[in-house]
Amino acid sequence: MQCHEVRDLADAFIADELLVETNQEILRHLESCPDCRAEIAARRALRSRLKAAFAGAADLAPREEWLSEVRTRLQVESQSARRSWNSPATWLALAATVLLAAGLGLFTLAGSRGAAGLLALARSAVGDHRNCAVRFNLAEKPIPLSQAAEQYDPIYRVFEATPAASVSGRNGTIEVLERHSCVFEGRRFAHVVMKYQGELVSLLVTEANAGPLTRLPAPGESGLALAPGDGYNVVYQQARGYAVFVVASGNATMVRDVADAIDGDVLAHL
Amino acid sequence: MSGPEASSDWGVFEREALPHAEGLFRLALWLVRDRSEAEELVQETLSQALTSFHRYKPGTNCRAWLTTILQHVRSNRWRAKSREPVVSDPDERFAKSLAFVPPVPDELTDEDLLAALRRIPSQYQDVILMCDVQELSYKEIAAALGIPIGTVMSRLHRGRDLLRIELAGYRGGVSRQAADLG
Repeated sequence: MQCHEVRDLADAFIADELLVETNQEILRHLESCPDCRAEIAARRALRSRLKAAFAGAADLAPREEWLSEVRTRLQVESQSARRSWNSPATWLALAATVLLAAGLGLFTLAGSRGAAGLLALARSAVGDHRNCAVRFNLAEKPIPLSQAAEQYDPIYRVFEATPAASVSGRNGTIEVLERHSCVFEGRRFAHVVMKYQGELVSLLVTEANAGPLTRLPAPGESGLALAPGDGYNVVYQQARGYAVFVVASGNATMVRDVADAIDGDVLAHL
Repeated sequence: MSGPEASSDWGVFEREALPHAEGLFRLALWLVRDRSEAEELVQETLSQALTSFHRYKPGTNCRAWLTTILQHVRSNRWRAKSREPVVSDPDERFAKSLAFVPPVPDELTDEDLLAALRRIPSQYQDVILMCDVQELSYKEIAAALGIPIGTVMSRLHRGRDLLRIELAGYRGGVSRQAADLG
């Protein structure tokens, strides 16, 4: 093999793309040709340096928060693909995802578009359910829906009669216990507290495009931190700029039953 | 993992595909030169990969598979924006200008190296990055870019020569343009 042939095949040789026989011919040539050895070495060195330079370039590095956001968004997509409901509308089930968000210790977000914003909203909804429906522990006293409709948004008036006081669920009756508007960590909700199979279930509706949302505390931090095992099941749907959540600490099937029973009525009015 | 159901499992996707997110982003940012566009490109790439993860064959090169999807997404976006590929094929233009390839100076920094790479025509950048950085085989590069393997080989060879010419001309922040050499 001649020098010019070796030079022509140098890249393929380095990339291990040649036939065994051709490789051996090149190796035989290199044993006796210092110029071609130097050429191959130079090409190898350039390749290594380029890889290292590219991998280490700070201005090409992704943002850490973006990587976390992508991961979360893909996981939500993965879950939604597996958990599509049979109801007319397509609800997005976020069961256990709230705990994931807490575990990741995410996000600082402007607005609620995207899965990360959705998770932040879901977490606020869980916080409201726990601190309002379950513990009566809100910093700000709830107000009637009619008052909220006058002061903030006419949409609140919808929930004075939606869902109905008594709705048939798959395994029993869903009874409305209370309706009001409340605020959790600065976010205002229309809140309908229901009871189904002995469990408190919240319907929480909030404006989806309001922002920015505050950073979620990680487990162990003060404030709203869902400890591992302290799971709530959340189902979600967005309609006309409003995020609609059904939240309970019961099993996912029970929460889904409630959402299936009321979603048609809620969506029709939104 | 033996079928679509198993392949679609989040855990497998997380283990096989997500570790490549950073490398994909670096490649995307290099290619499109806009951070937010690169983020969208990689997000869409990974989303499509998740949707069609049942098509991924375990044991094959996941990075190559993802890079191919990224190239398709990028091409579709180009078409959507009615943008043409940046450079016409200059293979022949450079073919006879590379009889002598000078050595690479030792004192070059990583920044010099990347700046020199940026100065050569984009189709050479693409194949060099896919080969050297993404470590794709020639066959995988050909599939990702939709070009014959022979073209991959010739672009790699000439692209590296052009890069070395750029680097050899680099002295204290001043470089010669490869295009000026023909």
